[in-house]
Amino acid sequence: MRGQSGGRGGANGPIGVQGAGPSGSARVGKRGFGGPRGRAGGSAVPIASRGAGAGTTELTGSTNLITHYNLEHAYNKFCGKKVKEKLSNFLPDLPGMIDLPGSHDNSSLRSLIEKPPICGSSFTPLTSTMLTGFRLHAGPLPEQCRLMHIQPPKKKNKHKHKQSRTQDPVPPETPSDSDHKKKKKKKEEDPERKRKKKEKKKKKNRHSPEHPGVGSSQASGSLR
Amino acid sequence: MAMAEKFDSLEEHLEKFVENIRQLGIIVSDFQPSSQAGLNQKLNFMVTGLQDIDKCRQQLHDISVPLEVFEYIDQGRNPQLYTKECLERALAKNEQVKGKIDTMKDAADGDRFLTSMGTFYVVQIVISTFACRRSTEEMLQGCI
Repeated sequence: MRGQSGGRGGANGPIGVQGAGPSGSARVGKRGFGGPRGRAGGSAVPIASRGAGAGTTELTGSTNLITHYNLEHAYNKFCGKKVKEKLSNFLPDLPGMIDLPGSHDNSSLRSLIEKPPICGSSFTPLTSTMLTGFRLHAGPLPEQCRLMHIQPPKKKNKHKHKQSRTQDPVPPETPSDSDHKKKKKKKEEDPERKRKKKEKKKKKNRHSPEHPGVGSSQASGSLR
Repeated sequence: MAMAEKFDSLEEHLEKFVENIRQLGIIVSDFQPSSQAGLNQKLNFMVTGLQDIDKCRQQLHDISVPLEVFEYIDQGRNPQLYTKECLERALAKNEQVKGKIDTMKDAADGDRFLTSMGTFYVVQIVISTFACRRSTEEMLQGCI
């Protein structure tokens, strides 16, 4: 601030920069990009180099902070490839329907934080008298409660893969699969072809009994 | 490494706890009177499991988890998506700030350039005025 008026003079263009400066001037000065002001002091050191000198001591946004904090591996891990959306992909071994929103069955973690359960600070083992409260009736659970033990995500994924394989007809097939399908198609088409051929043969036999058989002969016959 | 070990022990305890709960669920789903002893055992395992998890809390008191992660989990979304978005946001902001700093640098360099250009123009104007003056004098002399 000290050299602004004397250093630049009235002819200098960046008066607009000055105007924009005040809020940023302190920051700029700290970070070492405040060249114009320093020039008035008469130092011959280039602005950029002085700025860089000051910048080395202080961490700014000019450096790649991800590399600075050694987060390259994490960045490549999460941003390099597609992360699957569902929670069950993150916790595949967790039983139950975990992909459903927690608000549906009041199992949300937020509710646990907002309304913590009223309980003691320590966990004590259950005594035999306490365990009498857990005597259950024999028999299966009703279906509503059985949902806890179903793991649809895994099954769904497997089914999806299988379905996609079967539904997608051409592109991802292995040669063996395609061969099988071709064979099946051939098998399916074969009886029809045989019938058609038989019909044709019969017709030919009717029209030209002397030349039984082929289409070329039929064509030649028609020319005659 | 110590931090990783702490997390590993917590993970291990959580896995055991979840497995115990799963087995408990199987016993309960089709309960037989003969399996009452097993059920009681599982219930006590559950309590000890909770005790083990509670012990891990002391080791991880300095770990703070952003509340937004819980929102992701509550919505049935992968919490790794939060990490991904954080990293992307950080990189975008980093680039933005870098751009601002570079612009400021360029502005500082431009200021210096404009100053030198200004002096050049002033000198040029002075020279041209002198030249004009001389030429007009010569013209006038010629006329005379």
